[in-house]
Amino acid sequence: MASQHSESGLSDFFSGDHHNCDSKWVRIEALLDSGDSASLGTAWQDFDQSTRRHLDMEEEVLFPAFEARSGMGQSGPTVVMREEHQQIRALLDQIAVAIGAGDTEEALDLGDTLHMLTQQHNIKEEGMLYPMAEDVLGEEWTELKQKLAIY
Amino acid sequence: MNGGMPNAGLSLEQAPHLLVPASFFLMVPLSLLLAGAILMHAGVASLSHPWNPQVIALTHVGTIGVLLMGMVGALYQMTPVVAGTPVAAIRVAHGVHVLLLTGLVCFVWRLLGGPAFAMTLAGYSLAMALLGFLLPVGWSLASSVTRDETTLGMRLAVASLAVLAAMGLLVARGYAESGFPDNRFLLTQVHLTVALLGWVGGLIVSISWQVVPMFYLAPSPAKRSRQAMLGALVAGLILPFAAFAMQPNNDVALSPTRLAAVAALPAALAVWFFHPLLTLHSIHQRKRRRTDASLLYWRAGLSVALLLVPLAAMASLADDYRWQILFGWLAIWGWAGMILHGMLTRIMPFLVWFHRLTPLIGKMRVPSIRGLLSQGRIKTGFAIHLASLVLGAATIVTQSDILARLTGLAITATGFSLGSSLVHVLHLGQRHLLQHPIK
Ligand code: HEM
Repeated sequence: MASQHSESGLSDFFSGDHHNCDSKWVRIEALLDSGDSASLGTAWQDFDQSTRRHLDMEEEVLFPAFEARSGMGQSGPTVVMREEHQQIRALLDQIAVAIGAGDTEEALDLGDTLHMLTQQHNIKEEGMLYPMAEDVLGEEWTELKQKLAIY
Repeated sequence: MNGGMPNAGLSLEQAPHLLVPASFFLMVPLSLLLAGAILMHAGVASLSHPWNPQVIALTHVGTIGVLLMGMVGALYQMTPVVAGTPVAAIRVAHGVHVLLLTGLVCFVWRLLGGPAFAMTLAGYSLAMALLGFLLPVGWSLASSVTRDETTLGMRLAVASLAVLAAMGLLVARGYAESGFPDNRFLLTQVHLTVALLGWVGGLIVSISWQVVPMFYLAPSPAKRSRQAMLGALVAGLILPFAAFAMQPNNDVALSPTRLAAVAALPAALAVWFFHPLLTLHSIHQRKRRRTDASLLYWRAGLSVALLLVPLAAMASLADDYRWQILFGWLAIWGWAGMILHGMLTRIMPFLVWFHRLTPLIGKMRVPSIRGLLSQGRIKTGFAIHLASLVLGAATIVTQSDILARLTGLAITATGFSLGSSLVHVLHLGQRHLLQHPIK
């Protein structure tokens, strides 16, 4: 049986990172609105990197460990999650183009779209996948956390 | 090892086909056209006295045609996501759709002067539709391992629907010439309490806990306050049933019907006072500072909700029947209808985008969700809805026939505006898919 402490660790870690990315998007929206293009570049990079980092951590560490432990590979929940990650990455690319071209409205609208896509994605992860992962990976969490530290 | 795991969660791809929610959502503007036609045809009679058949007809075009259709569509969509379990036998939803529409049309037909058998037909159609909806959705919610307040609130709403429908059907027998039950007025009072507070209130409250923080990055209400609201809601839904144990009396001040109304107070305060106050506050503190057009609807609907407890008090204390009509009008079209309308303008483009455009992402530049339904269109829909709401309230106060017909016109315009928006979104999504077939 996993300890209470390590059980809450996994979910909190990844959910907390979702909120972290949300706050970074809020900042970009504010900068796009105020037309502060000087700060926009760095804020965008920060958001873009944090989001991709989150996706990588899941795909390279969490999902393989979960798939191995649960035996759910090809038909499991991670398949859909990986697909949605690809969609999120492609939308990030599209927003970067809009920001680069100075098309504020397009960037805001695509950002809103990305927000909706990630929120429904996060509900599924936070409501289902993380609790399931906590169930099967509780004991390995300390070890996994060390692997995540390099990201 | 797998003991605590939701089995159905093996795949997270559980959303129903787009046509399931969309077919119910499209009934909303259609019902608005029907409501507009009733108002234009029957005039002020449809906003006059609570026991007037035209009023009951118009009420149910609102509660079944607009609210129930929209909410059933939303539940088919949301249940798998929130509860983590798919809805079984989802194809039944198409039958539910046809039966609900048949039931509604027959119900209205009878009340507007049609034959008694129309109500019998309405009763059977509605009963079958609701069974076809309640069994699979109720099962999915009941078997979900998720125990958060949103899921609890959704369960409460669905259970309330079963109870209110049973009571409504009992009273409806009277219109099918099978005789009204002895306690008709008490049954109707509890029917509308469970309907507005348990079914509509339970769903609005619990879904708001999910979507307001999610769409606008607004702070979620504290777990304790969510639990307290649910507790008050349950108490206010159960207490009125005590009135059925009372002996009927002629004391108007202490009649079972009035006591049933008073006993619902905890639920009324939770749904029409604490929830709107807390949600308006949370929207005010949201992190995404941009005002998305859908926020207009939330703000307006929640502000109207704050008028409903005082209005309900006047409706049950004052002799003037206009209070009751005003209360019903504002509850159905100003609070629930407003929030539902706003949600549709947000959910429908999202669903179309999600189902039709996500496969294209990365292969080409895809339009944004807002690109499918512009903010301008959403704002126009809001303005027309608001105008019809104000016109209706003015009609009720003045009992002016011409204002009633104008209200009908404004409701018809709202129906056209929403209908054209929904069709526009579906059409754009379809066109995109056809122009860029997935290889
Ligand atoms: C199975 C579906 C339903 C049936 C068969 C039904 C039936 C009825 C009937 C027959 C009455 C009139 C009572 C009388 O004449 O004494 C009534 C009143 C009422 N119902 Fe329903 N109903 C249904 C669903 C709903 C829903 C879903 C709501 C709200 C969300 C609702 C809200 C009301 C209200 C507010 C009244 C009072 C109308 C007035 O004062 O004029 N009903 N219902």
